[in-house]
Order: sequence, then C-alpha cells, then structure tokens
Amino acid sequence: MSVNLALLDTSFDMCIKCTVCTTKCPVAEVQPDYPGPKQSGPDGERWRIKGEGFYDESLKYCTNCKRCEVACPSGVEIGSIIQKAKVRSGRHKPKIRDYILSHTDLMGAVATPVAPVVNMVTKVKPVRKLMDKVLDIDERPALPTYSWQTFRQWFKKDAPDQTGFKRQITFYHGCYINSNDTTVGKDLVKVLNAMNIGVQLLKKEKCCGVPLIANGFMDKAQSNAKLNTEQFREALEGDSECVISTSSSCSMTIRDEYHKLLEVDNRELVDRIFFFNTFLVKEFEQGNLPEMKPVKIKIAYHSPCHLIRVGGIVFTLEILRRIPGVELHMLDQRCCGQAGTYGFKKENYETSQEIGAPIFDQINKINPDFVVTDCEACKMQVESSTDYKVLHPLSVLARAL
Amino acid sequence: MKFDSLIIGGGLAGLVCGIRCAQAGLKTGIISRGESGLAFSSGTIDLMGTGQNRESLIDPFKGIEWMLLKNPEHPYGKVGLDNIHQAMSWFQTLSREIELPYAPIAEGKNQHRITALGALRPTYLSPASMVHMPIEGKQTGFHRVAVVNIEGFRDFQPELARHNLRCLAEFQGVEVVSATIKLPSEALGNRDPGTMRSVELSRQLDSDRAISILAEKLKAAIGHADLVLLPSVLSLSNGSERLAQLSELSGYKISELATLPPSLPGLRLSERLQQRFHRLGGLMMSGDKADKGIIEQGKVQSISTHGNNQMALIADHIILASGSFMSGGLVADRNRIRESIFGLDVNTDSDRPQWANQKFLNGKAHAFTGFGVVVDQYMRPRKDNETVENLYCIGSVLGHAQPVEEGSAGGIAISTGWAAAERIIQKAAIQQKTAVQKTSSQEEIHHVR
Ligand SMILES: Cc1cc2nc3c(=O)[nH]c(=O)nc-3n(C[C@H](O)[C@H](O)[C@H](O)COP(=O)(O)OP(=O)(O)OC[C@H]3O[C@@H](n4cnc5c(N)ncnc54)[C@H](O)[C@@H]3O)c2cc1C
Ligand code: SF4
Ligand code: SF4
Repeated sequence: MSVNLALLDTSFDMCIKCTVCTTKCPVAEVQPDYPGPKQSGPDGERWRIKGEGFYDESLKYCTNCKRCEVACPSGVEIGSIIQKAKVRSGRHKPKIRDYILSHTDLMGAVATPVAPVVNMVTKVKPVRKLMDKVLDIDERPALPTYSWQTFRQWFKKDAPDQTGFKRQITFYHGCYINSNDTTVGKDLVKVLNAMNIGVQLLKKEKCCGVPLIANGFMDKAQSNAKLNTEQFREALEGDSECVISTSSSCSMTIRDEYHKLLEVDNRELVDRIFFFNTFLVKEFEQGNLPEMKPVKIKIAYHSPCHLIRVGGIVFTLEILRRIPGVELHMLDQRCCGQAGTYGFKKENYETSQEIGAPIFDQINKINPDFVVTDCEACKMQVESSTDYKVLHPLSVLARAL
Repeated sequence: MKFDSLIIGGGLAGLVCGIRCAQAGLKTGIISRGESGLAFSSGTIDLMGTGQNRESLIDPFKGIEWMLLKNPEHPYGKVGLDNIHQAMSWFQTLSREIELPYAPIAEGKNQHRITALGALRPTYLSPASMVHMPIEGKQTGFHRVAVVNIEGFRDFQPELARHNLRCLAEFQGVEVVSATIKLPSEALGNRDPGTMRSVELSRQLDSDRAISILAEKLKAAIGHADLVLLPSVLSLSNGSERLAQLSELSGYKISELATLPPSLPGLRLSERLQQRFHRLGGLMMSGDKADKGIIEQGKVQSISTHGNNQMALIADHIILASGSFMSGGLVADRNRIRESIFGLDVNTDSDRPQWANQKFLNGKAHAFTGFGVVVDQYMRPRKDNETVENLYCIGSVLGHAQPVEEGSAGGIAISTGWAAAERIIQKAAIQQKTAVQKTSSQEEIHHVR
C-alpha cells in the first residue's frame, strides 16, 4: 500500500475518556452492536497498534459522519482514526459491490450512454432482488438514476457562451452532477452568469475520492487526488480566480483529506478551492448580489454532517435568507443515515433508516414544498424515504433569477 | 461574513449570551469547538455556595457581597448585585421556556444537592428532576430514603452513597436504605447493563414499557420510602419527563443523581439551550474552532476559523467565552499562562512554583484556578495594556474568581453572559438610532431640495 496509514496520528492520546462522543453518535444510538466512537476510536486504537489481532469487526458500522468529532472537547479526530483502522486492517476486503458503488465516475461513464436502460433496469423488482442477493446492494432504497447527457456534454454543446465574462472561475462538478443529475451544475452556471462571472471546467477531472476512501480503495483515491490536484494547479495558474465545488463531501475531501489522509500536498491551493456557499457569501458581501424576484416556497433545510463538521452551515443559511419570499424551516441537526454509499449496502440498510427516521418524521410534520440540502447523498436518502423532492440551495437561488 | 455579535465558545456562558442577543433580534453566531463544561457538570447552577470559612452559605447574594469586599476584581464585581439578580431570574424564565425548569428552594436561598457519593453540596438552582434540600436546619424532613441502582450499572455505588449519607448530621434519624433492582433483559434491549455507560443505558430505558417495568420493580424492591435516589440514567433528551412518569407510576418522590461523565443532566441543559439558540435564528458553527483574531487600533477586526480560513468573520461585538484550561480558553506553557486566541492580558505574575499548592486535593484553592483574563467594568479585556473596545469576556475565561472553591461557576457564566449581552443590545440600539436619524435627516434634505 502506498498510502501511509501507519501511526501518523497519535491524536487518540488527547482523549480524556469523557464519553461525550458516544452520546452523539447516530449509529450507537440505534445499533447496540456498535460500541460507539470512544471504544472504537481512541480506546480501540491503543489496542490495535499492538497488533492486528485486536481489530474489531464492528468498526464496519461507522459511517464516518464525524458527529463524534464535532462533539469531542479534546479535538480527537475519531472518525478518521476509525477509517484508517479499517483500511489498515485489510479485513474489509472490498467486494464487487463496493467497487460498483464507489467507482462513481467509471459507473457514470458506462451508464450515461445507455441511461434510460440502466434507469429502467435498476427500478425493476427482480433485478433489484438479484442485486440484493448477488451484490448485497439492498433492494429497498432508490438507486441513483443516470442522466442521458452528461454535464460535460451539456456544457460543451448547450451552455451559454462563457468567454464574454471578465471574471472566470473553474467548476469542479464531481461525479453526481456529471452523470446523475446535471441540474445543480446548470444552476451554478446560471447563478454565476447572473453575477457576471464566467464558468470553465477542468480539462479533465476524476471522482474526488470520498466513496473510494469509504470503501477501502485507497490507492485509487490517491491517484485521483493527484490527478485532480494537477488539474486544479493548471486551472489556477490560468485565468481562473478559484475552483468551486457544489458538493459538501467533495469539497471537504479535497480541502481536508487530500493532504491529511491521502498525502497529496495541495496546501498551497486549498485557499483557492471553495465550496459554493463561502464564495457566494463573499461576493454578496462585496455587493455582487444578483437581482432576485421572490420565490414563494416553503422549504425545510437539512444540515449535511460533513458541512457541520467544517462549520459551513451558516453560509448556506445566509444565502437562503437573502432569497426573497422563501419560508425557511430548520430541521434538527441530525444525521439522515445515508452517509454516502453506506445506506445502499444490505447490512446497513436498517440502521441507516433508523438513524434517519426522526428527520423523516419532522419533514412530514413540516410538510414543506421542498427539502433543501447541499449534499447529494442526503438528497438520495430523503427522496427515497419520504415523498418530498429535494433541492440544492443553488437551485432555490436559480429560481429567483 | 458579518454578524452583529459573534461568540467564541458554546458553553453555558456563550449559550446564555447568544440566546439573549438572538432574543433581541441581533444576528448572532456561536463558534463552538466541541461540548463544554456542561457535559461534566452536575447540571445544577452554583451561584455562591461557600463562605470565607468554608461553610455552606444560605444566602448566596449576601455571600457575594462579603466576597466582593475582599475581592472587588471578581467577575461578580463587574456585573453588580442588581444585575446578578436580574440575570438569575432571566435564566429561570428561559429554563421554563425550554421546558427544563430550574428553581431555587426559595427566592434568594441556596439549597443542598446530593452527590453520587452521598455528600451534600450547596447550589442555587436545580432542575425539577432533583430534590430541593434546605441548608438551614439539620432536618431533611424525610423518614426513609432509598438509594437504588440498576443491577450491573457500574458507574454508581448505592452502598457507598448510603453509607456516606448516614454519616451526615442532616441524615441522623433518617432511615437510609440501598437496593439494586434487576431488570429483565427485554427491558434492556437484551443487553448486559455491565457493558453500558449512562447514555447507553438511558437509550434502552427511554420507552414507556421500560419505565413501567422499572416502576413495578422499584415498588417490589423498596417498599415505603419518602425519597428515592436514582442515578441519572433515564433518557438524555427527555430525562425530566421520564422521571416524572416514573414518579407517577411508582408513587415515589424520585430524585436523580448525576453520575460520572458524561453527565446526563448537564448534557440535557446544553442540548436544550442549543436548540433554543437555533430556533431563535442563532447561527451555530459547531465543530469549527476560532484560530486567530486580529486586533488593530484597539478593536477586533476579524476572526479566522480552522474550517473556514477563506472567509474572515467580522462582527460589531465579539464575545470570548472559551472557558478555562480544560476547554482550551487558557493555556499553560512552561513559564507563562496565555489566553489562546487573542493573547489578551492575564492576571498571572507569579512564577510557576507558586501556581499550585504542594498538595493537590487538600481543599485549598490553587492559584491557577484563579488565573484568567483581566477586564474593565464592561468586561472588556486588554491586550498589551490597551483596552479592546468591541471585545467582551465572559464565563470561566475570566480571572480573579475561584469557581471551584466558591461554588460559583454556573452563576458567573450566566451573569457575565447576560450582562455582556445587555450591554451589546444597548449599544446596538444606540447605533440603530443614529443610523435611523441619519437616513431620516437625509430624506429631509431630499425633501427640501
Ligand atoms: C467537572 C466539572 C463539573 C462542574 N460542575 C458544575 C456544577 O455542579 N455547578 C455549576 O454551576 N458549574 C459546574 N461546572 C462549571 C460549568 O459547567 C461551566 O464549565 C462553567 O459555567 C463555565 O462555562 P463557560 O461557558 O465559561 O466555559 P466552558 O464550559 O469551559 O465552555 C467553553 C467552550 O468554548 C469552547 N472553545 C474554547 N476555545 C475555543 C475556540 N478557539 N474556538 C471555538 N470554541 C472554543 C470549548 O470547546 C467549550 O465548548 C463544572 C465544570 C466541570 C469541568
Ligand atoms: S463518524 Fe459517525 S458513525 Fe462513526 S463513530 Fe463518529 S459519530 Fe459514530
Ligand atoms: S469525546 Fe473525545 S475526549 Fe471524550 S471520550 Fe470521546 S474521543 Fe475521548
């Protein structure tokens, strides 16, 4: 293994054994077989460094939602300790299923040309039964559908001309926007153009790596990180002010995990890689606010775990609050249970649904026109488990233009 | 991004200040790195529990007055007695709004709380789930008290508590018994309680069925008792409600005892206060950490955080509520103490050997527990001897208090948090007035033209 997962990190020694993390872990709350972050993280690590024999299978339950890290008063990076231990153990030999779920860019490339067929087939009951049996992909959650035209294809052929704008940014679209749902990408172009900013794409890009890390394909994640970082560098040396991502998990991974976990040094670039919300709030505050008409909708906002972890919720709220007419309801800050590809796996489906249940109840009670969230995995979970459609904050903003 | 008021630290002090600011309609943010001292606290609010001769004080306000004669630099001296009164009654109103009512035994009087080890500690406000015990007089008014544990739960020792209670003057003539009740494994999710900490146990017991089983078992195990003491293991979020339900089903007056951390009563208060702040439109940046603050021309210009170094946070008013050593608000280097974010002036001039007593636990306050930031009468600190105009310091980051020895931590957090908020609200109102005057006079000019 070329990624060094050995004892880089002894932050577990900062643990004061207060068990506060375990009070906040959504998995421990519903899955009593999971010992919780304290025992699986800093406690377990002290044993695991002694030898492989101390590895504990129950680590598989952790979704890496990082709620424990948010709660810890001592700055222990519990979620990361657990992820690294999982990979280091080599016991979670990724299955074909994990390969399929995690190689999101590859699957997109295979599926989009024949999207209608794939979409239809993955909705057919016997097919789902088969996938359930053979691949351990649970037959119940709705799987992502694929778009017939990729975002890149649209951008090349049908997007409005971007060269007329003096200011230019580069958009890292990620897999989901490219292959599954291009809406958010199109909305970003619309919004930025309304603010007199042109959009470019990277020459090429790969999956950010988040599903690869979660499923144990560290080498692949690292080579993706290298390629993306080279591309970012090239774009930023050109006429692009910055790189923008619209997915909270992609940007957390690029900004934090490339350097810390995957050992791809991008520190000189990260200050110019933005999650859309910070970029927009900055522009708004400098007076670059697009003209908006009222959007009379009632929305319920769900805070994605990874955006909470980096303290980014407030910036999305700032944007939503500036859109006239929007009636904003805050859902309690609980995990929806999807956690990337976690909820698709047969062994996790029940846990995943149980974690999300209070959120689904609250949505039903509020009965909004739309649920709004920044994360595509949360979107899939909420749409699959409730009758509500989920919008990205940018799509709400685009409606106001 | 710009705020009206921006608070660093989401402990009791930060939350109180944040809620008060948000109530007044100010755009308020709290940057909070992890859970606070509340996660370890008993869940009761101490105001001034111990007098100069280490006696339990009956009247905390009198106690504060006496203490201030000797130590006028104490944070209570900055707030003033009237304001402390107001802050404490504001907090009681707030506690009813969040449906976790806190009250004294009588207005302006301290009470005793019972610890998990069976000792009595003076405190001012306690939640409804804990019995109010008078400090005055040596009679508890109880005849038979039962200390009960759930078999297997290892973080509470009922025999030890019973023994210690029996040794107290207040419990002479009171029959104190202990019991351990065995719950059927179905009430525990088929799990061994020996493997569970208080939170895990509380998740299993958070159901109507488990509570009714518990009620039956209690009645069978202890017979008559006019007070039952139970470790705090009934539901994190709805503990007070579950305790009331258990009381009603069993017919006992029941009081919970905070156990080893994590303390459910403390976390419960923290959770409800955070929820309140959210619902008032407050902006919580949990999981993030304030890294640095830039002070220029006697004012905080901006704050940068760990998660968002791309956008400086700015505010008319900044509030430092980052706690003491345990929370990282103060840091002890080898030979000096520093305030961790701004490098504010602190009240340490002694050398390291004088920071602590020779014996750690001989009941005497250590010098280091009194260290902290030095502030003026508006709770504004100094950096390099120059006052920082728009910065306020609240809670345990403040120096000149001995919260553990005095029994004053919660009261200091609430009263300084409330007072800073009131000051900010006043200033914001003045600013707004002048702004309105400006625009209306501009309009007048328009008219004349
Ligand atoms: C073991 C224990 C028992 C206690 N028992 C009682 C009791 O019985 N009664 C009572 O009244 N009080 C009690 N207290 C005290 C009480 O709970 C509070 O600690 C006290 O009121 C001080 O509150 P605070 O808000 O000033 O600081 P803290 O509670 O220490 O909170 C400070 C917060 O600021 C955060 N922070 C620090 N630096 C940064 C940064 N750079 N960026 C962002 N956030 C930051 C910390 O993570 C923490 O969340 C107890 C405390 C402890 C530790
Ligand atoms: S990352 Fe999430 S699931 Fe994993 S231990 Fe932490 S809180 Fe629990
Ligand atoms: S919250 Fe942090 S310090 Fe407390 S037990 Fe968990 S990892 Fe350790």
